[in-house]
Amino acid sequence: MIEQLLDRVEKPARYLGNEWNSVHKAGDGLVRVALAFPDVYEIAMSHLGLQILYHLVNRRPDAVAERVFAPWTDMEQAMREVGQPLFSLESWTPLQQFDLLGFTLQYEMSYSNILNMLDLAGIPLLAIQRQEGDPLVMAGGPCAYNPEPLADFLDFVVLGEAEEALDEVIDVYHGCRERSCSRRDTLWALAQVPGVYVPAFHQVRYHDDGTLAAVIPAPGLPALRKRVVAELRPEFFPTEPIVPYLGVVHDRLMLEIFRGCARGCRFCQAGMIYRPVRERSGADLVKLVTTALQSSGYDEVSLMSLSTMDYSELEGLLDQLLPSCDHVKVSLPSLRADSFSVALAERVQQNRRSGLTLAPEAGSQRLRDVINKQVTEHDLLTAVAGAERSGWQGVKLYFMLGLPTETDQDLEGIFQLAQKAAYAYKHVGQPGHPIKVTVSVASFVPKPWTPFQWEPQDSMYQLEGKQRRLRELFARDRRVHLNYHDADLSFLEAVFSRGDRRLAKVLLAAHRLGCRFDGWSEHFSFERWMQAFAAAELDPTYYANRRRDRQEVLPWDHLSPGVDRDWLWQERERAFAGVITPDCRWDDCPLCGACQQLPACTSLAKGATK
Amino acid sequence: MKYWLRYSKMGLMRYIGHLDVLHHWERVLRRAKLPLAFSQGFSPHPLLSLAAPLPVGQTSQAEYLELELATPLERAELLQAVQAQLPPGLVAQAVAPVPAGTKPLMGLVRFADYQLTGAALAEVEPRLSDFLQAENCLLSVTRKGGVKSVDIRPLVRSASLTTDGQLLVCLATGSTANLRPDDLLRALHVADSVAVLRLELYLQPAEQLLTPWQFLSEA
Repeated sequence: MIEQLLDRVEKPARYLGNEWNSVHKAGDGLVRVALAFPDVYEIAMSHLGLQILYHLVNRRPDAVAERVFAPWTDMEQAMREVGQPLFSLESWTPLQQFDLLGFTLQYEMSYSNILNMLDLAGIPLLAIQRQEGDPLVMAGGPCAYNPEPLADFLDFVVLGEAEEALDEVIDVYHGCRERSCSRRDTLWALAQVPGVYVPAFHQVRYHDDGTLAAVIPAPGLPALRKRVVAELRPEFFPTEPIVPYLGVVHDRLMLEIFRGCARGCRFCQAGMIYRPVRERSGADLVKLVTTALQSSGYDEVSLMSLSTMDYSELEGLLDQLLPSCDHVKVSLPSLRADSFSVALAERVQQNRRSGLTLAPEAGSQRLRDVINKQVTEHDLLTAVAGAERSGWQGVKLYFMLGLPTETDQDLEGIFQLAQKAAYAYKHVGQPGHPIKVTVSVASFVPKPWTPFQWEPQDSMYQLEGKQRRLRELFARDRRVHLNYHDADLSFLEAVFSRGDRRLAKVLLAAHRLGCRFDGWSEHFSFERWMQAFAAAELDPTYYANRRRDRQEVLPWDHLSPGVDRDWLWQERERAFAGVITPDCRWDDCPLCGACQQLPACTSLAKGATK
Repeated sequence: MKYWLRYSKMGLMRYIGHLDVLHHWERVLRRAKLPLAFSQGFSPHPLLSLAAPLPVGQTSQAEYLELELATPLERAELLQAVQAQLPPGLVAQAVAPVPAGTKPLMGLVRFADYQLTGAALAEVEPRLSDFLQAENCLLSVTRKGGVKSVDIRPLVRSASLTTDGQLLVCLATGSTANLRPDDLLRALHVADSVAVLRLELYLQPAEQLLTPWQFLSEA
């Protein structure tokens, strides 16, 4: 049946499940886990987290993990025509036959795909409608720190790092299955595992004005807390990664050199929820990269982290790694805007045609201080001039539009900074040539668990006006180019990132209207989403464009990633005062609260701990 | 030192496209820790090529990979190292060193044998004999984005039905002239799905067709 479908679709290789290093485990009594990524194969297979989860489950003798991704629309149509339910890749088993179905929540605009995948699998969309025998639908990942818009669809959510929590979840589930526990009793047992959140065991009350009154846990539940590993041990890392046949977005070995970031950019959710910083040692990394290159045959390795340049001994690490990478390219995914970064990039990156990407994020020093992005104009121009001298053909600069306190001067600042970057060599007083500058502008989306979680997003009208203003400015100089994202998509991201349980109605309506692959412009329809809000009688601007006050109960207050709410508020006040907060790796501890459960708040490769 | 490696591509591997297979071969050879020879220049890449593209969905008993090693290896050693790193569906059958100065295999291929299997072939016989007796047969084919009319009759060297209803054909293949089995089937008005298995590739250094292995033993 499935092979007949493969003959009908554009890219059958998305559905084969036979890639090198894929795990095909059979046997009675295994706990069967389906790891679901709600996007298409090429995106899903570019995600390191998925490979880590796959490895963590499959290293257990009593469990098996198989993958399932959102089938592309041609496959979905073919499946619906013949009544083929959604199946796992490795064994082509219908999802209904799994014990656990885990979705990774990476992006708000993939929520419609989650509903569509459940529907294709024949699993009831609402947790409350599921019966004994249906899989338990779980979720994790960055958006799990506010999973409330999905609360009605999820049986449970895991807060924090799988390395710490997943084994316990599988153990508890396995025990319940052995004792033939009911679905409800199993969920109750799971809710005793620290970090496991069962939305159905938490009642939500609202005030008359529509704001949240309280989230009340059922009596007998332990306090919710994020799970975090003290040390990234080598055995957690997938040294036998699945090697796709199809060209995927990141078609290379991904080596996580550290986790967490303490720079404290105030808009950045990843910088808050993945704290604290934990580096792997150079010796561990050499072993991991050697084994993983050998098992995969990759010709490129990417040194992954939230800010790779901040690894405490990066030059030393390259000295250690490069000899193990004969005829293997080493790439640095994120560069800091300074000359040190450019010098290192020069050492490893052979291809300079693709351009160098730097992220000043804001157009003026004032606004960069507000967001705590500690990059100066001088740093940036020195970096660009260095890149040009080293042979890069162009630079790409990332900015955000609609940041709190932004004024017209900040917009002009984006244009002026781009112009200066094009002639960076003159501004730093060194010989050189002009360089092509491409500016990419995203709209600011306030995120839960950041100092800006209380702030309104600019209205779409405001954002589009600012985009128009930038277009006018950039039309004046042909050397600088401008790209920006559509404001309507950013608006919906802002709704769902800070949404509450009432949005379930909107998601259901959007699903019925056929919304899916909303992150793909050819499938995204803003009109359909507006119809869905109308059908659910909810106002999206209430979520996206409203300022919350300090006292308001936020839908995610009970799901802390460790950083204190009060500290976030303090950071918000420092933002508005234009006061920066330095990185705790080389300055005082700001007492953010992220490492209270750990023996040390930071573990660096050179051995220093604070 | 250059080698030709013959392998089969069966089962689910038929859904992996030509370039993706070539890309995976590079990973296979890296995993096998072979002393690959690399191109010169700014971004060196291993010197690998496949003899003739095989369309997605078709299987083959006779695919050929041309590879170059910086230091020579024994055939058995090479074959064993490769085999251990191949995914199910790809099987390395034989490998042979190629004398210096031999042109790239990709440019030498002239014909391929195919075995076509499917219920739809049961009634193809009268149309097949008409086709074989005709002097020419024009067919619209899509090439590089444009549609053009091609006389495909000279591209069919032989075609015969077996007693159990399979169609065996020898078709022009390679960079000088090429006919895909599905284009021939279209000319024969076979609309239903037919399984395609490539059986062998041929070079034509003189009059006679030679398999790559025969070519090497004569060289």
